[in-house]
Order: sequence, then C-alpha cells, then structure tokens
Amino acid sequence: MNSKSKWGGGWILIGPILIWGLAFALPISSVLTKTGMVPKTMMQLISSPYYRGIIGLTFKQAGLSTLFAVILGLPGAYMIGRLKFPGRRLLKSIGTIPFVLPSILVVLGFILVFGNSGLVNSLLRLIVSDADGWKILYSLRAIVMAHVFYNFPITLRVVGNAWSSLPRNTYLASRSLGASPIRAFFSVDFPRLAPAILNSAVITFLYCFLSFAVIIVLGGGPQLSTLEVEIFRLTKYQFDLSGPAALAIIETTFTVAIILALGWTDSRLRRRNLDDSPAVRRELERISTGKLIAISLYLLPIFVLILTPLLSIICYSFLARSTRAGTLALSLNHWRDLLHVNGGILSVSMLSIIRTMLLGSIVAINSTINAALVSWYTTRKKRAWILDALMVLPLGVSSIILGLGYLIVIERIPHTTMIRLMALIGAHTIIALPFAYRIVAGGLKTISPRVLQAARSSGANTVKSFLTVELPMAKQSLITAAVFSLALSAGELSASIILAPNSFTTIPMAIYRMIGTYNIFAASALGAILICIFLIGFLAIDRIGDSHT
Amino acid sequence: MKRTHILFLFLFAFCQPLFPRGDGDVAGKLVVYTYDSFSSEWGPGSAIAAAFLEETGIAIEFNAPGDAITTLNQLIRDKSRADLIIGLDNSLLSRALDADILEPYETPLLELVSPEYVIDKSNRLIPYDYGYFAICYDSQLLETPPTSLENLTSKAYAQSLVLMDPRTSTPGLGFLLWTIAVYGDRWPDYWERLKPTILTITNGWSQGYTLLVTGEAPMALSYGTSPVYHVEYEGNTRYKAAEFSDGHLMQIESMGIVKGTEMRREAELFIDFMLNEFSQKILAMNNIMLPVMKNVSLPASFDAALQPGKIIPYPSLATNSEEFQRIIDNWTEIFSQ
Repeated sequence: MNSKSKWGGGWILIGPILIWGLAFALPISSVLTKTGMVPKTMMQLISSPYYRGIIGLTFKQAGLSTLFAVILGLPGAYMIGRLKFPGRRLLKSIGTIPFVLPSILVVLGFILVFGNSGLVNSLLRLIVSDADGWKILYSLRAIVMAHVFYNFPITLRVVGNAWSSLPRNTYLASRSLGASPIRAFFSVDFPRLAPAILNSAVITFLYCFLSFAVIIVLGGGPQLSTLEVEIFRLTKYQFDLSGPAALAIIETTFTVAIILALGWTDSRLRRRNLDDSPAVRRELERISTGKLIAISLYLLPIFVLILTPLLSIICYSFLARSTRAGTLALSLNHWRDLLHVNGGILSVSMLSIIRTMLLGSIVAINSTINAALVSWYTTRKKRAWILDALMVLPLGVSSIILGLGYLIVIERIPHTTMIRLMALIGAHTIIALPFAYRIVAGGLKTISPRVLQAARSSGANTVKSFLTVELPMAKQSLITAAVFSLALSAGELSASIILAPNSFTTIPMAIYRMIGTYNIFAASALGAILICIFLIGFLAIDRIGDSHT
Repeated sequence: MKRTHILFLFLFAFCQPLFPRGDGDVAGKLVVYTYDSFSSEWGPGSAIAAAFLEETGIAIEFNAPGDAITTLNQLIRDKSRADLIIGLDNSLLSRALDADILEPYETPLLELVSPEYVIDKSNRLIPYDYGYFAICYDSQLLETPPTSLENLTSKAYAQSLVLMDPRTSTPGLGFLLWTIAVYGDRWPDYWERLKPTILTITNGWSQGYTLLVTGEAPMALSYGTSPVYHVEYEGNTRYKAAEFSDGHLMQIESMGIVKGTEMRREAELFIDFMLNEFSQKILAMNNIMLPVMKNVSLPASFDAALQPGKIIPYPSLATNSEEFQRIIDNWTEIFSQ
C-alpha cells in the first residue's frame, strides 16, 4: 500500500457510512431502545397463549414449506448438475423466475389458479358440473404451496451448482475401487452436497419465516398469522409501537440464531471436504431414453407450475366479467382504464407505475453509488471484513421491522409527506444495498491488480485510474447492481405499505389493494406490467451474466 | 460525491410534481380524518367534498389511514393536525368521548334527526347514517340461509362464513359485540361452536365482502342494506341479508369537530353540509347505509334492505376499558393454535 491509497481510502466512505448509519443503524437501534430492552413486555408476549401460537405457526409453516421446497428442488438440481439434456439451460433460467418475482405476483397468480373461481376449480366444474370445488385458499396448505412454488428454485440453483462442481477424481477413484454408483454417491458426493443442501434449506426457511404477502393474503385472521404479519398488524392498525418492537426483537433473535447455527454447521461440514484436490469437474452424463422420460415427468409439471400463474396473470388482464358474477369475455377494458387520462389526471394504476419507476431509479442510483464506493475501498484493503459484514447485515432484518424502525424514528418529528418519502427511499436503499454491494464487489474483484499497476505506472493517480480504468471495467456489474436494485424496489411491498405517505401508491401496493377488493382483472393488468419490468431486468442480468463468464 | 448529490437534488426537484402534495401545505384546507373507503375514489367522500368546495370555496383534505378504529387511534395520537373526524360508530363512541378530543356542536339540523339516532347527548358526535349488521349470503350457493346466531353454527354451514377481525374492523367489532349482546358472559363458548363455520377472518370489511361477491364464500358479515347495492347497480337479487331471530345490532355512524381546531366555522359548515339532502342521498347511495335525516327520499332499490323485526341495543362497553381489552384478548385466545 502506498501513501496515496491510504488517504484515498478514508474519505470515500463518509457518504456510505453516513447513509448506512442514518438509514439502517438508526431505525434498527430505535426498535431496540423502544422496548427499553425491558424483558417484561417480551415475557408478557411469550407467556400469552395467542403469541405462543403465533410463534409456533411461524416455525411450522416455514418448516413444512422448506421440507417440500427442498424435496421438489433436489431432482431438478440433480438434472442441472449431472445430466445433459435438451432444456437444461431453460430449466436453469426458468427456475430462477419465481425466486426473483415479487411475492405479491406469486400471491396473485396463486389466487387465479387455485381460487374458488380460479383455473383449477373451473376445469373441475367443467368435468363434474356440480362439483363443490376444491377449497384451498385460507389454509396452512395454501401458504405452504405458495411458499414451495416461490422457493424451490433456491434448492434448484444452489444444489444444482454444487452438483455440477463436484470433483471428478474422488468419485472415479471410489468407483474403480468397486463401489456401486449408489454407494459412491453416498460416500463421496453426498457429503460434498450436504453444505449446499443445508444452505438452500436454511435460506428457504428464513424466507418463509419472514414471509409477508403470502401469509397476509392466503392465510390471514388470528388463526393463520405469523410474527411478521403480527408485527405489521400491530404497527399499522393499532399504532402501538412498543408491542411490535418487542415482537421484532423476538423474531430477529430467532433469525440471527438460525444464521449463526448455519455458519457453524456449514464450516464443520466443509472442513471434512477440505482435502479435495482443485476440482476437475465431472462431465455431464448423456442420458438414455428411459431417463429422458423420467426427466420429462419432472420437467413438465415444473414448467406448468412456474408458467401457469404467470400466464394466468397476463391472460386475466385481457378478460372481464359483464357483471360481478357474469361470464368471462375478452376485453381491453382494464388496459384502457389503466392508460385513461381523465382531464389531465392519470389513473391510479398509471400513477403507481410512474411512482414505482421513479422511486426505483432513485433507489438504484443511491444503492449502486454507495455499493461502488464501499466495494472500491474493500477490494483494495485486506482487513475489510467488517465493512463486508456491515454491508450484508441488513439482510438479517425483515422489511417490516425496518419500516417499524423508521416509524419510531419519525414518530417524534412532524412527519410530512416529504419525510415519509425520504424514509421510503432510505428503507428501499437499505433493502437493495446488500445485493448491490455483492454484485459490484464481485465485479471489481475480477479486475486484475496488474491492470491498475499499469495504469499507475503510466502516470494515472488513484482518482484518474478509477475513472478511466476501473469504472469502465466494472460497468457491467454496476449496471447489474442498478437493475437489480430497481427490481427489488419495484417489487417491495411490506416496508412500502408501512412507510408510504397517504396516496403514494407503488405497483405492489396497488395490486395488494386490488386483491383486497377482489378487483382481480385490474390487478392482473398491473401485475402484467410488473412482470414485464421483471422480465426486462431478468433478461438484462441474465445476458450481462452470460457475457461476463 | 458532489456530482451525485447534485444529480440527486435534480431528480428530486424533477419528481416533485409527481409526488402527492400533502401534509406540508394544508393551510386553508379543512383536514378531515376518516376511514379509507369513505375517502376513496369510489366512496362518498370525494363527491361530497367536491360539492362542498363548489358551494363554499373551502377545500377538504382527507387523511384516511385505514379502518375507523385505526383512524381514531391516529387522531388521538396527533389531534393537533385535524379539524374534523368522520366515521366513528357506536362501538367507538365512549372511547372518543373519554379521550376528550371533540368539541360539541348543536347544529339546528338535529331537529330533523330522529332522536333514536342521536347517540351522544352532549352533541360532540353527530350522526349521519345508520345500518344493521347482518350475515349476507349468496342465494345461488346457499338455499337455506341461517336464521339465528345459533343456527349459524350448524354443520351445514361448515367453512362458509367470512368474518372480519374485531381488532381492525368496525363490522368485525360489531359482530363480536352482537354475540356478547345475545350470549352475555357465555360468548366465548358460542365462538368455539362457531369456529368450524368460519372460512377466514379478514382485516377489513371490503376484503371480506368481496369474497362473497366473487363466489369464494357463500356468506359474509356485512349490513342489512348490502343487497340494495346489487339491486341498484347490478339489477340482481342474488345477494340477500339473513334475518336473525336474535335481533340485529344497529350501527350509527357519526362525525365530530376536533377540539382546538382553528377552522371551527368551516367545520360547522361541513357538518351541516353532510346533513343536507344532497349529501344524505350520496351517503345512502354510496355507503349503502340509511340516512338519519327524515326528509330524504330513497329509490325503490332500498326495499331490498333488511327490515329487522327486532333491534337490540349495543352492550355497554367502553372500548378503551380494561374489560374491553380482556374481551379482545379472550377472543384472540379462542383462535390460538
């Protein structure tokens, strides 16, 4: 390290640290201080049978969802990791879709497919005309099904990647020593897959544990409520901030404990595999016709499962009922309503689109700049793990809790619309920051230090080499980070619903309200637009990712 | 850094017109706290506010954080920012009066209101419409509607009723009070029996009622006047309100002037405006409730409204009392897993 980069480091962090402190540390610490750290409220909550039931259900639904999501994801992971077949790349890409989708779209698609007057029941009634219908909504089953759909791609991707990078030599050695393929799998492959399976299971569990839209729409009521929904209900409806703050601490204690347990088990599991020689990847197997049939038995339902809800949303946006209970007919009404300008006033849906895009752009710029500044610093310092950890820390806090923290902060000042908007931007920035940081830091790390030395030795100073060499080279990761941040902000529901000022409606909020009043068709039109935003973002990232590797 | 800040400011300045103009510039506007469906584009609020602006030149700004319970909670917290509150019903009456956040207003128009609707003799809360809670049903899905609260627990109705959460919804609270009025201290036993009938419990009325009209559920808690909507706007008599032999609870919605307002005269004008024939009609047609003023004529569709043979009084419970909190706690415990 020369003296230049020493002074060049410090000041660049002022901005990001200020934002991190104001937008994350302040609200979260006010949640902590709100309860006065007094265990009394917490004990009261834990000792009430109602809240014990809530905690129990939170674990139960997350556990069941994780179990089924992993079971559903493993065969696909095996296919991606081991087999060569037509559609492998497609499975990999399509498998990512549910995971990046905003949860409100998952909920909407689920209602369209499984609702009492949805696709499945309509088909059922076509076959058996006086069928009672399959009542699935508003049950634990519905919650678990939606969660499985939403989260099995995690196993598909994470375990699939691990499977494809298994070392070749150890496996071949064990086979040549006479082990059967099954035995070789359990003694050689499985221990190496275990960390990936564990990781995907824990990530799935955390997502379901903190799930919001799925629970509040498909469950709901005191019978089917979780910690996250309960924190929301107390905050939003009862204007009680210390009760939810206590629940937030309970919830966060659980999530932190789970993350720590994961870290500990993960490192133990990995230690056993340390002696692996640098992996020479095993080749993908070509498959027989028999296996091809088995694969399509898995793939077809998976594609149907993923695509039907999405296609339903798009189809429904072009339908309408003559009356509330009338027959369905093709119609452009909802799109016309959406684009309709009445005396210079845009429709609520159109306004929500503009606001979502503006909010998303501000969030994207904000989080990408901060991520870039911090990554620029951490990639050239050796002991920057603290900064690394700080940047990723917001992942461990749920959006509802973040929103609650902001409410506690602005409770004491007169909250004008402007302050509420700033809070919303701050919350979204913090939600996007860990992802943006990971992406940008990953991009900057790939730049060889030699390139920088070359730039320096030809006379460029730190700033100049940053602007002329690093920035252009990191451009792709910066764009990816910005697109990803925008997408996250555009799909975010729970913090927005708590923080957005009156009459400031984002797309997910509008869809949530339309589902609430069962204005399914208008919700679908807006949902179709959100799908487009996500597909464009997803394709952009997918392509950039491709040209990157 | 500097450049990004400037860019940031620019973005902000550019976005300003697209963001809602709100609490910052309320001078000269009458700030009205109300529940969300009152002030939404489809609710009665916007039409009444527009007519009021035209007649008096006074603009209304609605602040609608959610249900009436939420609205009252927020008003108690920041009363200095409101001039009027609209939408408090019988169950919230004692709580609003105890919080001492309202000023009395003896409008001369009260002479035209039947005394049975005047729930607050101190005239701090002035009634503007009323209705009866009732279980509404889809006559195409349900051939024999329930005839009493007890009948509702019958196996024939398993998994078919949508209720609302009494912690977040006034009809939900109304239904809980209804069961207390009928069953007294034995209401928790009744709810245990009712549990198998409940399909789901929603946060608010509109979420719950739409489950009925979209065919997701054959029964939902609503009002005796709800069928009027379907007759008036859809010309169908498919949705009906079931008459219960236990009798029905009468909900009266009221409004009041917030204590310490600097716009007392304007607030009085608006209260009188809410009671004129124009507004009373809009309230009836839009809220689908019955007008409290005697001189309002209603269309024939209102014949579809339930005329309960028996009306039962609200159980006397202060909603902020410890007793009330205990009831809510008991209620949630019935649903503990």
